Amino acid sequence: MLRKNWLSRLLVATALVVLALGSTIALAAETIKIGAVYPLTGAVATTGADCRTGVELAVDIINGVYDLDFPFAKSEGLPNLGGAKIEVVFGDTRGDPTQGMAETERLITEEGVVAVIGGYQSGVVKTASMASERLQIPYVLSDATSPALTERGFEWFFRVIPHDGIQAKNALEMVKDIEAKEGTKLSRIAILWENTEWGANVAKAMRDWMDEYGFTMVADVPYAYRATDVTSEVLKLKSANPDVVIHASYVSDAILFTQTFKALDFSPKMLIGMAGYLDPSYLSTVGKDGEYFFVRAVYGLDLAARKPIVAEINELYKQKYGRDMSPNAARSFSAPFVVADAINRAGSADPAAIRKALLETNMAADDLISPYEGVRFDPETHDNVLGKSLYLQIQDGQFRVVWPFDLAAVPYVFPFPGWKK
Amino acid sequence: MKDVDRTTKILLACGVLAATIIPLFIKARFLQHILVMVVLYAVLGEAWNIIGGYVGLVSIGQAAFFGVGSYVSSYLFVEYGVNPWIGFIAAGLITALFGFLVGLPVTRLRGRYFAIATIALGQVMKVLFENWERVGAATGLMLPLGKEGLVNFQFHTSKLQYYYIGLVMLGIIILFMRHMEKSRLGYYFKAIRENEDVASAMGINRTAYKLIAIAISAGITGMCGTFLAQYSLYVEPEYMFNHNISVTIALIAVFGGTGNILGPILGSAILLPISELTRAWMGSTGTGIDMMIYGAFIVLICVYQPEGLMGVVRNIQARTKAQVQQARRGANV
Repeated sequence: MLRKNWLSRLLVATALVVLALGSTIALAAETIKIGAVYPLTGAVATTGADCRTGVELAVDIINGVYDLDFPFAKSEGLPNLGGAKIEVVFGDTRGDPTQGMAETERLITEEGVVAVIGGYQSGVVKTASMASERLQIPYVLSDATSPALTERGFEWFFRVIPHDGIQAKNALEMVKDIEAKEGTKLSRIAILWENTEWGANVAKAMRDWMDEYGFTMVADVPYAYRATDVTSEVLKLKSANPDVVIHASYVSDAILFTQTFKALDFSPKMLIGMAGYLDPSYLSTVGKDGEYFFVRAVYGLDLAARKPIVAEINELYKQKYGRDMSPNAARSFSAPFVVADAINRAGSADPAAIRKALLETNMAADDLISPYEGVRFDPETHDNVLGKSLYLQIQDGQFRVVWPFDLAAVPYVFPFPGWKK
Repeated sequence: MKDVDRTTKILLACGVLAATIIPLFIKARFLQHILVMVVLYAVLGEAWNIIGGYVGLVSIGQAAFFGVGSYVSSYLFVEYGVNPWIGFIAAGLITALFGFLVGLPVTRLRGRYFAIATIALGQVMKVLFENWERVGAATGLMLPLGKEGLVNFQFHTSKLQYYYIGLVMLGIIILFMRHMEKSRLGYYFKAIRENEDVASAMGINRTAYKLIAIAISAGITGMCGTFLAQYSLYVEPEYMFNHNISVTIALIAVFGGTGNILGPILGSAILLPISELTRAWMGSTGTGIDMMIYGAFIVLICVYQPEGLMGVVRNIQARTKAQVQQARRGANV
C-alpha cells in the first residue's frame, strides 16, 4: 500500500506541474493577437533578438499615437476595428524546424493568434508555415528569402521580402555595374554558402544567374554554419583565386570567416556578404576587420536621404533600444504593418477575412522603410511583386548604401584594400 | 514478494490505460505535440537501449539511422508516389541493412572507440546528404500536403493520430523486448555486455550478435525517421541528421536507466515535457533560462542518481520492501 502512496504523490505532482506550465492565461478579447516566431536561443539567438526589436517597435507604432507620416501612427490601434490593439506573442524556435512547427502551432491553438509572422531561417519557416497552412491561419513572412518557400503554392503564406533569386540577380548586377564603372574585369566568382536550406538556395540562384551574366564560377564552397574552424574552406577559396567572393552566411560563421580571411591574408577584390553580416554583433565583434565588405540588405539608414521617415523611425528605435536600427530589425519591422493593414481593411480578426484582405494588399512605397516600391502580392505565389534589394558597404563602422547607384548615399570603395589597410 | 509483483502489474496496467485514454481528452495541440514527441523518443530510446543497454555498445550516432529512414520514405513518396506506409516498412528494412553494413567495421571497436565512431557516422551521413543532389542536397525534400487520413499517414486537424501510431510502435517494441529479454538472444546480448571475451570463449559469436543488435536498433530508428518526416512533412539534412537527435536519444535512455524496458519510457516521459514546457513558458524571453533549467535538472539526476530514474524507482522499491518486511516482523512479535 505504501508503494501506491509515493506513486500517487508523484502522479499528482507531475499533473500539477504540467497543468501549471501548460495552462494559458485567457486574456480579454479587445486586443488582436498575432504570433511571431524567432530563434531566440541557439546559434542565431542574437539575430532573433534583433528581429524581435523590429516587431516590438512596429507594434508600438500601430498601438500608440505618434506624430509620423506612417500607417497607423497617428491613430491608436486599428481605426476600422474601433481602435483595437495588436498584441504580439513571441515563440522561440531554437532554430530547429520541429520546434518552429510546434511553437507556431502552440501560438495558434493555445494563444489564439490570428496571424503569424517571423521565422528568419528559411528551413524553420518551411515547417512553421506548414503548421499555419494546416491550421488555416495567415503567415506573413518578411525576413526569410529562400525561393522554395513560395514555390509550394500555399494558400495562407505571404512574403514581403524579395527572394534569393531576385537578390542573387541584384548582386551580380552590382558586380557588372562596378565592372563597367571601374573599367576592370571581375569574371572570376566564388560562392561560399552555409549548407542549410537558405544557403543552398542562394547558391543555386547564383549558379543560375552566373551563366546568364557570363561570369565564371571558380569555387563553390559549402560549410556548416555551426562550424568552429573554417581554415580548409578559406584555403580552398584562396587557391581558386577569385575576383569576387559571395558569402551566404549567418552571424557566427560570418565572424569566423572574416577572422580566418584575415588570418590567412585572403583578399579578393570584392567581398559580398549576406544576412549574418547585418547582425549588430558582427561589427561589434570583428570591428575594423569588417570594413569594405559589401552586404546585401533591404534596408539602410542612408535611405533617409530619400525617405525622411526612415530617420524618424530610427530615432524612435534609438530611444527605445539605444542603438541604430539594424537591417534585420528593419526587415521584421514591415510584417506587422502588412498584417495590421490587412486586418484593418478586413474589419475583422477572422483569419479567412485577413487572408482575403492580404490578397488585395496594395501598400505604397511611402508606407515602408524598405526600398521596395510597395507591397502587392502575386495572386499565385504570394511573393511581393514590388520587392527590391540594396547593397550596403561597411565604411568607418557604418552600413552605407552604395548600390543601386541612384539610391547610393556614398561612393563605394573598390577594390578591397587588403588586411593591412 | 508476490504482492509487490502484483502491485507492479496493476500499476503498469494503469499506466497503459492512462496512456491510451487520457490523450483522448487533450484537445490542446501543443500538449498533443508533447505527447507525440514523448512516444517518438520513447521508441527511439528503446531502440538505443537494444544496443546501448543490452549489448553495451554506446551509440551517439543514432541520427544517422534516423535520417536515412526519413529520407527513404520521403524520397520514395516524393519521387515515385509510394505510399508512406510502404515507405515506412522500406525505411525499416533499408536502415536495418544499412546498420548491418556500417556495423561490420564499427562493431569491431570497443567502448569509447565505438561511441566516437558512431558520432563520426552521424556527421558523415549529414555531410553526404547535404551534397547529394538527387535527394535535394541541403534544401531537403518537401512532402506535399495530401488528404489527411490513415492511408496517407498525414493528419492535419489533430495530432492524436500520430500519437496513437507512436503508441502502437511503442507497444510492439515493448512486447518484442520482453520476449527478447527472456530469449537466448537477450541472454547473449547481456553476456556480451558483461564481458565480451568470456562470452566469446563460451561460444557466443559476438560479432554476429552485435550486428543483429545494431540492425534491429537501426531499423526501428529508421522507422521513427519516417514517422517524424510524416509528422513535419519536411526532411532536410541539417534537421534529420542533427547531432542533437543522437544526443537526446542517448540522454533519454541513460537518464531513464538503461538495460531495462521501462527506463527509456520514463526518461522520455519526464525529459521531453520539461524541455518543451520550459521553452513554451520561458523561451520567448530569449534569455535561454529554459535551457538552464533543463540542464540543471539533468545534472542533478546524474549527480544524485547515476543509475538514472530507474535507480530512483529501485531505491523506493527496496525501501518499501524493507518497510513491509519490518512491519511483518513487528506484527509477528
